[in-house]
Amino acid sequence: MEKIVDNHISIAGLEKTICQDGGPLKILDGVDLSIQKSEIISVLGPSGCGKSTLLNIIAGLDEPDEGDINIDGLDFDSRLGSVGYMQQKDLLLPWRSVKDNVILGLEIKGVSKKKSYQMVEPYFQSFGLSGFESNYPHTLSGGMKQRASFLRTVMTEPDILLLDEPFSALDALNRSRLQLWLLDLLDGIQQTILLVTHDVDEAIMLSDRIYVMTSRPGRINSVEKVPYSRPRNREIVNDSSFVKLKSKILSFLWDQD
Amino acid sequence: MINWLVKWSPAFGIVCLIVGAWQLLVKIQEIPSWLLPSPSSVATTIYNDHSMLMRHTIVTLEEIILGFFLALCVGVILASAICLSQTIEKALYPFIIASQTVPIIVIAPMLLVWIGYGLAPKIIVVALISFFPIVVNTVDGMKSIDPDIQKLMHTLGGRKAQIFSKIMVPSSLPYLFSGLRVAIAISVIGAVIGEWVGSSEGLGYLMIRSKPQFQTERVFAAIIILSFIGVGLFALITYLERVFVPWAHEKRN
Repeated sequence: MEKIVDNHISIAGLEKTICQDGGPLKILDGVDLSIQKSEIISVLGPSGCGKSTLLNIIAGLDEPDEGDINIDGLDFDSRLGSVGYMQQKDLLLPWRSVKDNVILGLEIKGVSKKKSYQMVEPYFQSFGLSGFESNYPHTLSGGMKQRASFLRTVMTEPDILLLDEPFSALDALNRSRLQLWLLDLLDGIQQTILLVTHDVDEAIMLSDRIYVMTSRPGRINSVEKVPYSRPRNREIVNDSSFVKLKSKILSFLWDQD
Repeated sequence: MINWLVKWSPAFGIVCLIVGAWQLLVKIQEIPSWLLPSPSSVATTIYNDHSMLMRHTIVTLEEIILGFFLALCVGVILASAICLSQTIEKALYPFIIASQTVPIIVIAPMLLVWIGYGLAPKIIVVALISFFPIVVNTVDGMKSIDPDIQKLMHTLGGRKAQIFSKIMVPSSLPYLFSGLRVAIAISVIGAVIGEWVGSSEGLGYLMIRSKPQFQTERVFAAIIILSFIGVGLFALITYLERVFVPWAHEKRN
């Protein structure tokens, strides 16, 4: 089916309050967000600004108290299982080999094991996992685990990918390597991506637009457009407009209490 | 083989020390053999009566293994039911715990009255005391799954049955094996108790019969065989764990 609507995801007036320590705690307070098809969006904000809650709601794991979510082509009930969601931890199953971990989503959807193996085979090379297909996860490095987890998420071919601080568990060197790897990989990807992070460089490098959130209750503070088209060169980090945008975003983050 | 001997040399050392001291004590104090037989006379008894001891050993081993398998099946079914339904958990768990507070030595003679004299009551006694650690450990294992993995399964479109078979069952296996190790050790006790309250064969029966006849060597021979059975089955389960749950073993080392 041809999709004619430009906005792939539109979210308006999202509110969420949870109970914590006996009292109500407002987590999201009127969050508006709109993402176009194939766009890569970053959501930046301090810890506890409700980023993860926002992703849970988009993925269909949680319900908002107020507000509308419109995801093109999906009604609320079918969101669960159609939106790819990669969480902070790699969550690879320790009893499955890398290969069997990666096909988990296909297996759940009822694809036969033999067919699933054939489908993942071509990706091991570009995900830097070839030669490790039969290893158990505990023998892999942190970066490899994260790539395997990412491959598992994309294997089910969701239209929307939610990435929740996918590199936060890695050390600085591995993180920047993985960011560059993802930058290359994103050129060949058609999916709409929502990346949650608290790394400003990562957000600018990878995304088309950046939503900056305030701390609790989470609100959208500003929306910044990244002035680079894709595919991108890794040299943009030295660009003056990169530095300018970075300091502007940092001032938003620093100024809030 | 050499490696294995070196690895377990501390255990052999302790055995040699105890056996040596025991032999010396019996010799020096001139303790009569009906009171405390020397290790050498126990060894002589095992050698001389080996065919008779073997016959009783096979009976007891059969009771242990059948009872243990019954406990394994019942334990895993109960644990799965408890983890799949909160209603079943609330209905059954208190009774499972209560069942362990009733002394087995009281239940065993009742079983004899209810189901008669034979293999069945012994199997039930073994199963009754060994299913408990299996249930408790398996339930803990199934409940130990990371909530984020549950979230992952939901976002991949997994249903409850798939979460059970693909996540809960495999993650409970290392716990199940811990439970099995405890269960196998106490199932040896179960078989002996089952034989004490009424039987005509088995190592427990042999002990009960030999004691009043002052054939204390035979009592000790039975004890030694029982401990070999216990250690051997324990080792077998550890081996099976390595085969079936290799990831947990590799991770530990």
